[in-house]
Formats: sequence, C-alpha cells, structure tokens
Amino acid sequence: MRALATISVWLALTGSAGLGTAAAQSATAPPASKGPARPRIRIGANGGVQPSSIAITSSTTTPIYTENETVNATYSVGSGVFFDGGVLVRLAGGLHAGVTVSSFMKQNDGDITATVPHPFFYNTPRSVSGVAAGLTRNELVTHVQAAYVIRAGKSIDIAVSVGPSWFHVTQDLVTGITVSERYPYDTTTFTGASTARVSADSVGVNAGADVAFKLSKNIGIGGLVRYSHASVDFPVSGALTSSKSDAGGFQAGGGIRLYF
Amino acid sequence: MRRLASAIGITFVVFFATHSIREPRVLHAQVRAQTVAPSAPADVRDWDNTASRLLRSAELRVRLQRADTLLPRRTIEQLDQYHRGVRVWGGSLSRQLDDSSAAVSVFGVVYAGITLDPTPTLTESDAVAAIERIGGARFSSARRPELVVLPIDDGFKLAWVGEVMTRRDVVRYFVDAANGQLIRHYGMLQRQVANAAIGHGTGVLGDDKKVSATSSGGAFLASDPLRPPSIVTYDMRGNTVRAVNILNDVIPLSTADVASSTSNNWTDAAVVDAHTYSAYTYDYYFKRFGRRGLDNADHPLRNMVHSVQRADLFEPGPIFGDLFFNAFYCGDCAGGIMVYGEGIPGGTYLASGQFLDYFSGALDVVAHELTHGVTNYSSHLEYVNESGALNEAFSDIMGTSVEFFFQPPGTGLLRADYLIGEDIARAALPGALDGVRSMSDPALFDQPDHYSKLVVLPPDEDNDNGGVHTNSGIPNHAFYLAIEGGTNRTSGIRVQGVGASNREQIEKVFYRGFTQLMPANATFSVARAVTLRAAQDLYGLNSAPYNAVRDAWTAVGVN
Repeated sequence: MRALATISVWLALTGSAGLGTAAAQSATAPPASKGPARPRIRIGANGGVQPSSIAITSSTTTPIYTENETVNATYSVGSGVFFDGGVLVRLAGGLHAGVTVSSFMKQNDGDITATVPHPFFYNTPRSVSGVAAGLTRNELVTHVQAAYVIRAGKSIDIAVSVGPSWFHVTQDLVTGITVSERYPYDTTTFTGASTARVSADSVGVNAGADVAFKLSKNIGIGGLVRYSHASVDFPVSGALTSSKSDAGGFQAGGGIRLYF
Repeated sequence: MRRLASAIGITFVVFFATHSIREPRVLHAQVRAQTVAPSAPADVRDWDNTASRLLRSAELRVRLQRADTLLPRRTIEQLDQYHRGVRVWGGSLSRQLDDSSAAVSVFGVVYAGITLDPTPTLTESDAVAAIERIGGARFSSARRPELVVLPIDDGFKLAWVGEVMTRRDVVRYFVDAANGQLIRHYGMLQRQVANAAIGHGTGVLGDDKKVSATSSGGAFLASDPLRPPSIVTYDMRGNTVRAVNILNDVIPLSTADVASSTSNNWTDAAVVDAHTYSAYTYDYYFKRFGRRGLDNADHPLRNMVHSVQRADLFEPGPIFGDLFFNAFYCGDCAGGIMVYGEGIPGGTYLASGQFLDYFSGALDVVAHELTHGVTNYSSHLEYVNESGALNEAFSDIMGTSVEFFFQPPGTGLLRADYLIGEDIARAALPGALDGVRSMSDPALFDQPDHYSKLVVLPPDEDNDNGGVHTNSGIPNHAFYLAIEGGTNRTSGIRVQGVGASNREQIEKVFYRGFTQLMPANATFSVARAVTLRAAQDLYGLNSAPYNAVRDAWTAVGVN
C-alpha cells in the first residue's frame, strides 16, 4: 500500500428546505435574526455517477519454451455508479467533521498484448492480442472530512470539505493467457485469459461540495460533487510482476439528507 | 510419326508416337534409351498420350502421385517402366498434369526393344544367397531382392537387385537372374564427405539451441512431439555391433536407443545438433515449399549418432569408416535413417589438414543427407554417373538453402555460405580449407565447374559411383550462378543472377525441377530442361529466374 498526497477537494452542496425550520433549531442555535439553529448531525446518502476513466496496467511473466512469455494488460475503468453514505458532526459554528463511505463497482474489459516465445527458436517471439472481458473493479473508500457549512438561505446550505481518504480497491487482473498454436508455430491465436482478484489499500485525499435543501426539520435533499484520488499498487505474486492503478475520480450525485 | 533423339548422344530411337515401346523402329543396335524432354506443347501432348497408353497396357505404372505443393491445381506423377510385370531399372517418366488432367510437361528416360523372357532361373532365395556370398554380408530378412530388367551396354539382363551393408558401405548388387553372376555393384551410402581421411576433431561449436523433446518417466527423450512427423534421435552409445545390426535390419531400434536427458538440459552436442538440424530441415521444406518431410507425407525422421566411439578408430578389427568420417542417409536401413559420423579423435587430422567434428554439427550436412531422402521419395535419381551427380548436387543445393534460411550470411562458423560442411570439416593446419565442396568455386575442391571438365570414372563404389561427388560441382555452380550471378571461369560466360534477396525463386525452381519433374536417370541436360520448365511454370518464360537458370546452365556448359 502506498499513500499519495494528492490534493483533493470535497465540495458538499447541502440543501435544506424551509419546512419545519423551528424543529431544526437546536439549543445552541444562533440568534433568530441569523435564521434557524444549525443541526448538530447531518447524515447523507447518495447515489450518482463516477464519470472518470481510470487506466490500469498489469504485467505478467511466465516461463515457457525456455524463455519468458510476457503479458501486458491495460484496463480502462469507464463511467459507473457509486453509492455513499456519511455523517457530519458540527464542531463549532459552521465547522464540521465527518466520515463518508463510498462504494463504486464496475465491470470492465482488459486489452491484452503478449509475446509468446517460439517453441523451436530463441528470440523469435510471437505477438498476440486479445480481450479479457467482464473484469470486476470495486472501490470502497472511506473519506474523512473537515467541512465548513455555509448557510446560503433559509433552507439551503452549502458544505465544502476536504480530507484524507482510505481506498480499498479490488480488481480482477489478467494473470496469464491461453493460446492455440500449431505447426510451424510462427503465429499463435489468443483463446482466453486467466484472471485473479487482487486487493490493495492506499491513502489519498478528497475534496467536495454539497448543496442541501431542507424539506423539513429533519429531512432534506441534496446534491454533491466530489473528487478523490489515490494511486494503488496491487500486490505482486506468482506470474504477476506489476500492476498500478489510479483510484477515485470525480463523482456527481444526489440523495437524501437527515438532520439531527 | 515423331522422331525422338537421345539427349545424351549415345543412341537414337525412332518410333511412332502411336506405338508402344515394345514396337519401336530401331535404328541402333545397342540399348535404346530414350530421353524424354519435350518442350513444344504438341510434343508434350504426344508423350502424354503415349504415357497414358503405356499405363493402360501396364508398361508404365504409377509409383507416386501427389498434388503439386508449389502450384495449385497441378498433379505430379512418377511413372516406372515395366516389361511384362518386371520393373525396368532406370526407366521412368515424370508427368505434370493440370486440373483438367492435361499434361504440362513430361520428362524421363524409357527403354525400347526389350524382348527378354522375364522368368528368372534363380529363385529369390538363390539370389539372396548369391548376394550374401558376393557381398560378404548378411542379407536381412526385412529386405528382399527385386527382380528387374537391367539395361546394360549391349542389351538387357534379367537381374536380381539387392543391398547389403558391408564394412565399407551399403552396396547395391545386381546379379544375373540366370546364373547368379555379378553384373554390377555400387555403393548406396549417399555420403557427405567422400574419401575422407583421418584428422583431428575438437567437439562442439557451442551454440545454444532449443531441443524439442518428450517427457517420459521422469526423463526426457530426443523425440520431437511438436512437429508433424516423428523425429527421433537415437544414441547408439558407441555400440557399433548393435548399430550395424540395426542398419542391416537384423534387429529393430528400441526405445532404449533413444537419446535421453534427465534434466532436459542436453549436453551431448552430437545428439542436440542431429535432433535440431533434422527438424530445421523439415521446417525449411515445409515453409519454403509446403513439403511435408521426406515423402511429403510426414515420413518419420530418424537420426543415429555415436554408432562408434572415436577412440575405436585406431583399434584393431573391422573399421566402419563411414561411421567415423561420413554422414549418410540410408533409405533402406531401419525404415530410413540418417547416420552421422562420429568425427575423428582429438589430436588427429586429415591429410587435407582438416579435422572432422561430429557430422551432425553442420546444418548443411544434415540437410544434405535428408535431401537424399527427399530424392529417394521423389525423382529417385539413380546414384551413379550424371544422375548420381545430380542427386549429390540437389543435396548440396538444398543443404546450402537450408543454411541460408536459418543462419545469417557470412563466413566462419554458423554462417550461411556456399561452402559445404565448413562447420565440421575445419582447417587445422595452415593452408587447409574449411569445408568439403564449394558451390561458388568448385575448383577449390577439385570439382569441375564446366561440363567440358566432366570427370569420367567407372561407375562403381571404388570410383565414387562414377564421380558423383566430383561432377556435382557443375550443377552446384549453376545453382550458385543463378542466384549470385558472376562469370564462369572456364567458359567466361557471365550470368545475371536473381540476387541473394531473391534466392527463394531459384530454390523453388530447383526444388520443383528436382523433386517433381526430374526422371530417375536424368542427365545434366535433362536437369537443365526440367529446371527451365520449373522456372517457366513458376515465373513465366523469359522471366528473370528463367533467364538466370538458363544462362547459368549455359555458363557451365550444359545445354
């Protein structure tokens, strides 16, 4: 696991509706002239899109025919859906601290290029390419946030946040290929790939903005944009010699807000 | 009526195209050998009709018929001549047919005027006894003599022909079927190095190559499981008695004879090179010509190494010289096998100043010998006189071609050049040469480079079957000139070759000519005709390859 000090910005746009504002006021609420009291706890649950395109590479080396077969794979993680849930606790004034857990899952393809040694002759590799389909990627990210909530109206507030993120990334990686070949073995045909599911942890950062609109004292809706990022090195074992991946990216979504 | 003249200038025969060979109008009293090499389409059609008629009357029989591997929709037939059910030795036609079964070319030699009664006085058993008595060697039960009509100088003889392996050679004997008297004999070992002398050897060349082996019972056997034919290398571990008995088909090869390694890390250089180079040769024929091995049907490739121990060369007792300083393909031994000489002990060298390494250590040598197998299964070029020299030349041509296919051009070890055997017959003394023959300069090894210098020797094994290893220099040089170009030193005729980058063209021309169109008793003149026909088939009349082949033959005095 390797932590990268990539700066992230977490913008939390929190909306709050004007309904039931009295109930939303707490004992430590500011004077009435400044609006309803701030809630102490904010809980949010969101769904949305992670439109980022992450590139992953992996490489394997397997001894065959007294030389090494090298398989390089690149994976593009396309847009997918994420879900998250989190809580912010007001510390003082508009300053909050909180944690959000985000899950992103996507199935992607891996583009494979390989060189397969010739069975009869040294230094006569045969090139082959293919696709490994249906590879699963899962990012489970814990965002720790320091947030500042700005009241933008009677029922609307905006939270901006920043903090570190702990990434747990699971990825199916190509660990080898199968080919068909026949005499004179000067060419070979890709027939399939073997994969293994690997996981790695890494630390990155996040930043975001959340706009919330209160529908009642305790309920609201909101939308968010978030950017998080980390770099992940998957563990090397067996034929796998290296695999690096970015993780995170932009997220945009919306959901409900609960205030206490 | 059609008048046909012998290309070799010995005899003339005139007969009607509508008549069979049994009804010729004879103008010459001696053996009426008819060289068939028509070039005009009408003549080809006439000979095609004649061949078809002779097939119907069983005077010709199909020995081989297969699809052309170089040209689509072509079929090649090898037809043997028969007289009342008995094969006429050396009488054969090669016929090329298109997809409508019309003849494109016909080449060959047929005999006319055969009147003898094909009933032998000697039985087959009598013939075996006679050959064993004459050869001083046992006739294995696996081989039987064949009754043939043998053309001789003043007519024809009914003869039994059979081969036995003597201490010097595998000798083919022809005995009179009437009385068992010896008519003719010559050596059958198609040698790489003729008349080699004792010299000095140093072992391996030290190059690393892959070995295709078979895992079996925790060990690895020199049996190639990846290539289409069975390719097996046998290690006789210096057991000469066993080796000779196997070659004579007295006992069979066994799995215990297969070379093996406990780790698949092969350290026996003779085994490694025999096994890999024979496989490379198969690869070359397949990739270049689409040919599947010796018989174009994946006939097994068997290699035999260490049939003697180098130290035994100076031991008292019988010496099988060919097992030390020669390599040969024996088509009739153990189902067809390549035998690689052991070379000579360290500290010795030949009178030529060369030392001899393991014979499997030279790619061109291995390919040369295996090409004898190809010839056995295709043209069947008789291994005597001009046809024998053509047989040798084709092996040199293919041996060199294989070398250029797999090795970078240049001079020195493991480089492709126009020397034969330079990787195993290496100069040990100042002034000595590498190799045993030169295609670019045949005179370097006392070979003729022009037909006017043809060496005429008695056609027996004491005289290299009529100088087959000597006169091969002429077609060898023609092949070289057709590719590289240059001036023949004797004729002074300059040839515009196709260039090294186009060597594939000339290789295909010679391959096609020698394996598909060539008759068994071909002369150099017939070889010119068939290679020109091959060039025309493949590249067209007056194409650059056609002109190069034509000019090359002309430059070496073959017309």
